[in-house]
Amino acid sequence: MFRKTKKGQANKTPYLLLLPAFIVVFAIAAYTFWYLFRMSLVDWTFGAPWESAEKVGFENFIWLLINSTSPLWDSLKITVIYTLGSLLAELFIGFSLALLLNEKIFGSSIYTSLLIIPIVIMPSMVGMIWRLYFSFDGLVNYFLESLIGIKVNWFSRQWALLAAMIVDIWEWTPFFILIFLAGLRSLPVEPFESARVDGASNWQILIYLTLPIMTPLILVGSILRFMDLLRIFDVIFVMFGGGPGNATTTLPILVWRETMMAQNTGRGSAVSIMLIILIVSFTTILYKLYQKSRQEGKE
Amino acid sequence: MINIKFKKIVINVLALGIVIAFLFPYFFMVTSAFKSRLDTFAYPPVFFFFKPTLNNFVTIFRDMNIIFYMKTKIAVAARPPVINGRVIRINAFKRVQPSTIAASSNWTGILSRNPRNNQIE
Repeated sequence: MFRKTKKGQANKTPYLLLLPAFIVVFAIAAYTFWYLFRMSLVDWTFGAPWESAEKVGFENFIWLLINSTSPLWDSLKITVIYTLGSLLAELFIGFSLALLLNEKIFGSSIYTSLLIIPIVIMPSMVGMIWRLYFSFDGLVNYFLESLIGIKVNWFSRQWALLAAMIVDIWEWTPFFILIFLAGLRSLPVEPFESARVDGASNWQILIYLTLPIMTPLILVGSILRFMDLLRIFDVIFVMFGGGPGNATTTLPILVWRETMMAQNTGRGSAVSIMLIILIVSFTTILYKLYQKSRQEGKE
Repeated sequence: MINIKFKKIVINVLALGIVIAFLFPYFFMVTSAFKSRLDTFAYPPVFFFFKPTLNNFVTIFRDMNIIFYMKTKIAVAARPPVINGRVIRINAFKRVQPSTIAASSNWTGILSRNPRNNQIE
């Protein structure tokens, strides 16, 4: 377990130095989770004294999972659509644009710097400006009307989720462009030269060489964004507040609605715990895939 | 030769177009800061030819106490690096062997450093 020193003795110093930070981080995380779990087992109105809380066991979880009026499943469906839709679009567009910017382009480094801008804008600001652009007489409808002659009510149940996804794609595709570009620029030259000598086409090089080598990087980027997308709150909240109806009520918005709007802290906490389980499970799966791809890369 | 030149031009134009498309909402946001309310909400939108005004900035400094919010923001942003001990991290990085630094230029390599020998796998 411990690293050996030159004399063959176990070197515990790094672990001892890390211990205080580990204890602090672990204690805070464990206490917060324990407190959340405790709140999920009671019927407690937000803001009321803790003494007024009534112990209900796992009733909050059961209600959320099996009650016909429970908003959980709709919210889960919306979260999955939002997460997967945004992630796949960002991956595809990000990779395509990284391939494009990897060519010898005039001002490529300036483009790369400029593309960081959407990432650094405050999410609440992003929500506010896109709320303005998606209004019926806004920027998006102006371009749509100019190009294809239609105007869309983006604040309707039918289109609101798509609008939220477009905003996320605009904001976070540059993140993928930047990491993929860094990855593409650090690819080894030899396999590509060999492939060209063997007469491989650009498409074959992309499918059989570039993508397999880039798979660990793609998975790392996906893990980071996946966790972020599952717990995204600010942009959707500022743009739609989870509405119209429940059209954009993702799980974090549901937590807010149950806790702050319905003032049912127990149910809100129960949804939070389910969200944590969901994030940890999917992240573990993606991380296993990442490890597998690295293992295959070594072999 | 003409084919290669044509391809280069197409790629450059395409890249420029994509960057403009990504930055256009940002451009509109920045220009909106210098527009009157009427120009901001105009339909069709006013992109370039508007009468610039500093009224929005006057309003936020005079009526909204923006300095207070900026101070709060700086305080919030400055705290995490201090707590994280970024200085310690930088010093720790200096102790890594040059060969390891070269290997870690591979972005994914950072995550796969073997703790036994501190080498990239």
